Amino acid sequence: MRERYEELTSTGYQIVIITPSTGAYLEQFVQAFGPYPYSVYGDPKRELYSSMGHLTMQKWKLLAKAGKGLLKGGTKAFIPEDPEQKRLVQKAMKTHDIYIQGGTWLFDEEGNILWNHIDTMPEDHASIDTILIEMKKH
Amino acid sequence: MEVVLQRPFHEDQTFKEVIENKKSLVVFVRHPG
Repeated sequence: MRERYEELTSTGYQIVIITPSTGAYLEQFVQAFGPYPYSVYGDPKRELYSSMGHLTMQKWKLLAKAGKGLLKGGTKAFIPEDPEQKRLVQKAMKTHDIYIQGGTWLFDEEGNILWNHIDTMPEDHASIDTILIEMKKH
Repeated sequence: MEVVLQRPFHEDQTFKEVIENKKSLVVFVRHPG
């Protein structure tokens, strides 16, 4: 997303990232991993997630996927090498609802939904190319 | 839409305030990073 920020915003859309984090955690996170060209917001009680239909996945399904990734890429698939980044990612894995579904939404200026994709599995993200096609349609 | 969101280094805002008057791509992630 960060690499293709200009391509995405050239369509006239702002980019908003929602995380299941507190603002205080995000402040540490942005200092370690940022800066980000887009705005990042925290919804620690996951009220927006649930009101828009993003559910917490069954843990066994997600753990099975994580196990596959671990076998394929080792812990490097999940954990950064930088000590501060590593600490924050490990903290997120312990304190966040990492079983919540992600997803992608497009809204018009009045807040009407133009298009959406709720991930059914962690790897089921809408691709940037798909998002760009949908943005250009609206 | 009235859900209050926490933004690092800024005042909290409702989701409605975040997206109003702008076309928006909103991405929900499972965790930052």
